[in-house]
Amino acid sequence: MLDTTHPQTTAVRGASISGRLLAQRHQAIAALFSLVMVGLVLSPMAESWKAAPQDNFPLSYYPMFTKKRSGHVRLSYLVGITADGDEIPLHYKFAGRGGMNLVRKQILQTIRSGRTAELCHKVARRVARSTRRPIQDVALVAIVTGTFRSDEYFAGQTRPYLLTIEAVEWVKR
Amino acid sequence: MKNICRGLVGRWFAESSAVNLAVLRLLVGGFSLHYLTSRFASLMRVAESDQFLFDPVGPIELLQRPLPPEIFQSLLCLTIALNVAFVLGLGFRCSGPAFSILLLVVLSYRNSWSMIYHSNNLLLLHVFVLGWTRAADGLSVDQLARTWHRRTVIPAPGRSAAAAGSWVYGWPVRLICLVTAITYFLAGLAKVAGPVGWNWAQGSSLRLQMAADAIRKELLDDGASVWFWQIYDHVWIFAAMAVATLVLEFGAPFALIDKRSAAAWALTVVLFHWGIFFTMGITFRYQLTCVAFASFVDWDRILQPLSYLLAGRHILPRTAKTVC
Repeated sequence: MLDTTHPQTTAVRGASISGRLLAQRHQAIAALFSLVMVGLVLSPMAESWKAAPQDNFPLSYYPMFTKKRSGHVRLSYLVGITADGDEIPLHYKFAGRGGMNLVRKQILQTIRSGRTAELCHKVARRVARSTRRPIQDVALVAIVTGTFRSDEYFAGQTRPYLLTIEAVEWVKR
Repeated sequence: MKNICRGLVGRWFAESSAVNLAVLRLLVGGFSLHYLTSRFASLMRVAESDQFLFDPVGPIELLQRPLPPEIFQSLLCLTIALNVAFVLGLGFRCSGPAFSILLLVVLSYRNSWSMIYHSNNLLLLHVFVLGWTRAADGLSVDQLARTWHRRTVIPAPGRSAAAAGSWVYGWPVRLICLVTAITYFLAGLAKVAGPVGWNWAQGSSLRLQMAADAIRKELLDDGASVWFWQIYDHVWIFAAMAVATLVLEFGAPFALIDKRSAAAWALTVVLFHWGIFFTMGITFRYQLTCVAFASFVDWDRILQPLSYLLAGRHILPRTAKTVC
C-alpha cells in the first residue's frame, strides 16, 4: 500500500521543515503511482493503428464495434429438430456457461479444432435431460454454421442463405 | 510553464476528506463483492471449460496450462474473503493491495477462455487505485479500532485522522476519474482509428454491428431486443447514435474540467449505457448501477447534511475541495 503518511503529518500548515519534506516525498510517490497508472491505461492505444491489433485484459484498447462489416453475418449455432421436422434454435447454455458471447466463441473454437462431434454429443445429452417444452420434443440436435443477410433477416426472412451442418446427434432419452 | 505545472500539481493534490474516498471503497468494493458471490458458480463453470479453449490474457499469460479447478476455487474464495475485508476496511494496509492483485488474477482468468469481456476493466482499475491508497481511513473497521485504541490506551489529542481533510485523500479520487475518462476516450479512438475510420460516425457500421449482435441473440440467446427490430430500418437513428457515442467518448477528458461538466458527462454516460441495454440487451452492470461514476460525485456535499440530520451536528469535515 502506498505509504502516503498520516494526514495530520502531511497537512503541513505550520508544520516543521522535516514534515514538509516528508510530505513532498510522499507526494512524489503518489505522483509516480498516478503516472504509472495513467501510462498503463493508455498503453494499449497503439493497437488501434495496428494491422492485426491484439486485445488484452485488463489493459484494453476497447475494440467493441470497430470491425468493418459487410451486412453478411456468419454464425455457428445449435439447432434442435423435432420428430415432426420443426427446427428449434437451442439456447447457448446447452453448449456451455459463462455468457452468450463466450460460448459463441467457444463453439467457433471447437469447430476449428475439429471437436464438433464431441460438443454435439454433450448438447444432445443436456437436451435429453431437459423437461421443458418444446425442448422435450427435440429428437435430433445439430451444430450448424449459417450465413445471413442482415437486411433480409430483419425484413422477416430469418433463414440463412448458406448453411453448413457441422455435426448432428440423436437425442437418447 | 512552471506556473501551469504548479497549478496542475496543486489541483491534483488538493485536499479532500477521507470520507469521500471511503464511500468509493464501499461502493466499488460492494459491487465487486456482489459480482464475485453472485457469479461464483458461473466463474467455476468457466474455469472447468475444456483445456483447448484456454487462451490466457494479462497475468494469466504466465501460465502454460489452466489451473486445476480446485486451485481456482481456493483463489476465488480467498478473493471473496479479502473483498469483505476491503469493504469493511479491515487490515487495509494488507487486504487492500492483496485484494486488488487477487481480483486481477480472478478476472483475468475468467477472460482467458476465448473471449475478453470489457465490462470489468473499469471495476478492476478502480479497485487497484483504491486498494493501494488510503481508502480505509474513514468509514472502516481500521478507523474504529484506531479511535478505540486512542481512547482507551493512548489518548493522543490532535489526531483526528479521517475527520481531517488532506491531500492524501483527494488524488486517488481524481485518478479514478482520469482513468475512467481515458477508457472512454480509448474506445472512441479505436472506432475512428479502425478500418471504418471517421465513416463510423455515419452510423451504418454501428447498425451492422448491432444487427450481427441481434442475430446472435435471436439464434443463441433469448432473442434480440424488440426495440432493435423497430429501429433497424431507420438508418438516421443509427447515425445519431454513432455521433452521440463519439461525442461522449471523445468528450470524456472534458469531464475533468470541473464538477459541473463531470456530473453532466457521468450522467450522460449512464444514460448511454441504459440505451445500450434497451437496444442491445448488453448489461454493463458496473456502469448501469452508476457505481463506475461514483468518483464524479462530491460525497462530502451529499453526506454533510445527512450527517447533520442524523447526529445533529457536522461529523464530517468541511475542508473537502474539488473532486475532479
